[in-house]
Amino acid sequence: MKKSLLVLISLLFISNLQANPAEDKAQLKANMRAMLQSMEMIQKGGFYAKPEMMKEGVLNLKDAIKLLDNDHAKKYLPQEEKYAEKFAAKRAKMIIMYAEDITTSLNEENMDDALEDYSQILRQCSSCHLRIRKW
Amino acid sequence: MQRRDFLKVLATGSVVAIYPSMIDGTLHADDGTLFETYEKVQLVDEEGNPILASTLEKEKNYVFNYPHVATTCILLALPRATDTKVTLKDEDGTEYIWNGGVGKEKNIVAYSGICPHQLTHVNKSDTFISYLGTGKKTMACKQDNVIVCGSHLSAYDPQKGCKVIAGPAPQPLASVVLEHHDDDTLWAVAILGNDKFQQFFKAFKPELKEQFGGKRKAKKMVKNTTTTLALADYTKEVIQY
Repeated sequence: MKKSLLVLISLLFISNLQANPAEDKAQLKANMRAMLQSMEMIQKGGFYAKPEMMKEGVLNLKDAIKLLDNDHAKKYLPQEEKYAEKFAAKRAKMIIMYAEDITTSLNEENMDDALEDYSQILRQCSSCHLRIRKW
Repeated sequence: MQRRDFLKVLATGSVVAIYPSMIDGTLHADDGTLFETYEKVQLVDEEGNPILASTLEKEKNYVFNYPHVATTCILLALPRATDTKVTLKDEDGTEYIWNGGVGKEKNIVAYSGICPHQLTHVNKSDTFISYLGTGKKTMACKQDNVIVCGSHLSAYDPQKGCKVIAGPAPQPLASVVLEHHDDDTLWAVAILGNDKFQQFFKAFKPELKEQFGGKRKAKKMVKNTTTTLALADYTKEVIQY
């Protein structure tokens, strides 16, 4: 029993060691793509005046951004940018705030405010890319 | 114009020239001065007692709201007298003159806590913009005694009217025009420079809704007094890079 427990712990440890930078990077890339698609969906919904499409985009965006929230930002940031975890987490928090306000604005049939929120999300994205990806 | 009216105009003009806090509106003077006066308010502590200039701890970040209830400013007693008559330029190229610090040592200054680059600002949850005093290191520049916006590492020199010394900021932080009275009290009377308040209200509408119950309430003007606190007591976390 003890032996099998040790083997199990060792296996977990090894798999944990293997699941790291490359996988984290791939995960971050996948989530960034998901965020981009969500933003495109919100934008398209805005252009075609389809609030439901925008709301769906908001849900997808909120799901994808989770990777950069307070608990996860450090893990997924590039090694040399890990120090900026609080900055990245703040941008994620702001994106969630504006995304939620899109839904609120749409429920109040205020498309102008919803589109303003969309542009503020873009600003948060560029803010983070400017700092982390050194545009 | 009758003689009496003419004299009234002259009298008003001289009052304005002597006492800028009585001007109501934006001034673009010939010498490039740009400032907007608001209600004159006294800086007080949490109990409502006047803040005395001589009791401010040097190099400590203090904050107060001015001129709107949602626009937080940074108050500092710098380690030495500031420069005077500093020429600054806003992002449109408009030049204006910053007169320098107030108080006995001419070292007390106040600036808007809104970074003109992407509007990072002092707030209650987490603050990325603050002053780093003597010997404090920052990634933004080699100099100490600077105000740094930790979002994109813009650095400002508070000795020189918050002139930009590093980073992407397009213009200085707007400064709060302070008056220091004979009884050692401090008063905020105007904002000098391009303040970005309107852009701030537009950009942070959801945040202001959450904190103040709406943009209109957040825009309310501060009246009579403004509570002055240590930044560390105002915000949950100060983040400096």
